[in-house]
Amino acid sequence: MPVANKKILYTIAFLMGFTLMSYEILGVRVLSPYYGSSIYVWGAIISIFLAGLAVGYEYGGKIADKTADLNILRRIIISPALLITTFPVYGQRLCKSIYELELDSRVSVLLLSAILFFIPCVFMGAIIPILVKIRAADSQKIGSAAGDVYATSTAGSIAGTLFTSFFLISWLSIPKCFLLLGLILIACWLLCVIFQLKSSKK
Amino acid sequence: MAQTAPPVIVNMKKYIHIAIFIAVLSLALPGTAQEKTSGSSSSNQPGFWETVNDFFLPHPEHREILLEKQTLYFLVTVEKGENGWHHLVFNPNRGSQGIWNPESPDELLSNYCKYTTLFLQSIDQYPRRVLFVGLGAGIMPRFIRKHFPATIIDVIEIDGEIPGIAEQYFGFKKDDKTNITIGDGRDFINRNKVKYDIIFIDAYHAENIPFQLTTEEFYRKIRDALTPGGLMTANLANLGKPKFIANELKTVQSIFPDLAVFVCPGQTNYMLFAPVNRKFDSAAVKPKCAELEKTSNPELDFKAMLDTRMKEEEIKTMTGEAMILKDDFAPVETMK
Repeated sequence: MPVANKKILYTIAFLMGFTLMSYEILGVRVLSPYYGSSIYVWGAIISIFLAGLAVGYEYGGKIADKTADLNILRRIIISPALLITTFPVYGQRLCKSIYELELDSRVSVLLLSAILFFIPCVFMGAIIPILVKIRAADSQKIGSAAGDVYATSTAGSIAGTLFTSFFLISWLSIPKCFLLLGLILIACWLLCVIFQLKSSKK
Repeated sequence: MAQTAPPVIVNMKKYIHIAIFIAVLSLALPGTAQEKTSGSSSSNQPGFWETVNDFFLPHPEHREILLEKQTLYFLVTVEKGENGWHHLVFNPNRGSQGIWNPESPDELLSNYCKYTTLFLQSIDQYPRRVLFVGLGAGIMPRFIRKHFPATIIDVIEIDGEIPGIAEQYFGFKKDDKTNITIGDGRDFINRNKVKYDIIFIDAYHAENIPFQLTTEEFYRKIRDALTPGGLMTANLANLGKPKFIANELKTVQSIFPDLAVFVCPGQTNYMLFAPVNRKFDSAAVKPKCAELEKTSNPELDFKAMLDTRMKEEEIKTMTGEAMILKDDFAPVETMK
């Protein structure tokens, strides 16, 4: 398997970080019409995102030790891409049905966030260790590979947070925002596909 | 490896210097700004509190701070002015959330409360149950209890510390016909199953406008929670965001077509008033108001209040290019 282009890895790390935080902020916007914007809503969403990432890192690391290449990356990226793109189709329905169970607000909001956001976060978290492994594959510099990937993805997260809260929400309706995020992930997937095709021709 | 180490350390030093510089700067800034505000003397008029663009705590020389408390949502302060009035302030920025004079506990001092008495003149029957979205200092619930002793008062307030503060400093009393729920107004109204004769919405404050309490979907739920002859009043503080006001008027009007809008003196607040299935008839409430004027405090000038009503054409011009806010698209934070 050819070593992937540095630029592609960092582009994916950046866009992944961007999508993750943008998704989190939009998540609050989706839940607020049901539960309001009390501190519980923020708390529930942030903790579910972190839980998803933690599980993702764990599994991503294990996968990376078996195989770390663009092929596995591509297969992981497509899941959150599809889940986020189709969010407007299932999101409102799930919100409604969980909300109408009339559980305690805190339990209800935690359960709903888990159902809506946990799985995409697992996949997005799993990307990171794989990127690190691909980046460090041909060298001993595992430390700087991990540092670079985390720095780039966190820079993406900052950009995603600011862009979404300062601009995106005032430009597009919430379903369109989800569509945009989904398209960003599909673009990442395409990057992997295109690069794979290119390198296999060589 | 060893060769690359020194530049990293040099870089770190640079960052530490930047961090120290920022820390010193942030310590110095509020100090200089406070000096600026200390020179201005306070007039202790409610108008001053509602309009002043004061980002820092008032100077202790002019206002005594009775309470300063960090809650889950706000830094709440209760301040006592030179004339003895108590002010409730959320976050040390602008605007008073409630004014109360302990020496004249039944007097209504803020514009919001004064206008609400005007609206109360238009109800024909004794309100059985009312809802307050946002408690604040609890001045209006106190007023309702005094004039309608049998009414059930429901309150939904996001901050669990506020009811205690209202009781301790603003003469609010919780009795067995007053139910206080702590939570978000939207969650409450979503789950609500009872009907109200009056719903008071006073939930937008300072820079924080909860978008889920501004949308068409929210006001539809409010309308559905009203009795056939019920009414809704909403207090829109004018925060220098005319676009937000225009969009909000259009949104409320889409649900309550007979919306009446009053502009408080100095344009500090827009008072929205929406009876279900009927119009607010200024001429009809005039005699009632005149009667009340004789018996209650002379501060309430009903005629002047009625004169501040926006004409239908004025509302039309204002909302001409406005949009209806929806759960899917309500960027209230960026509206200027």
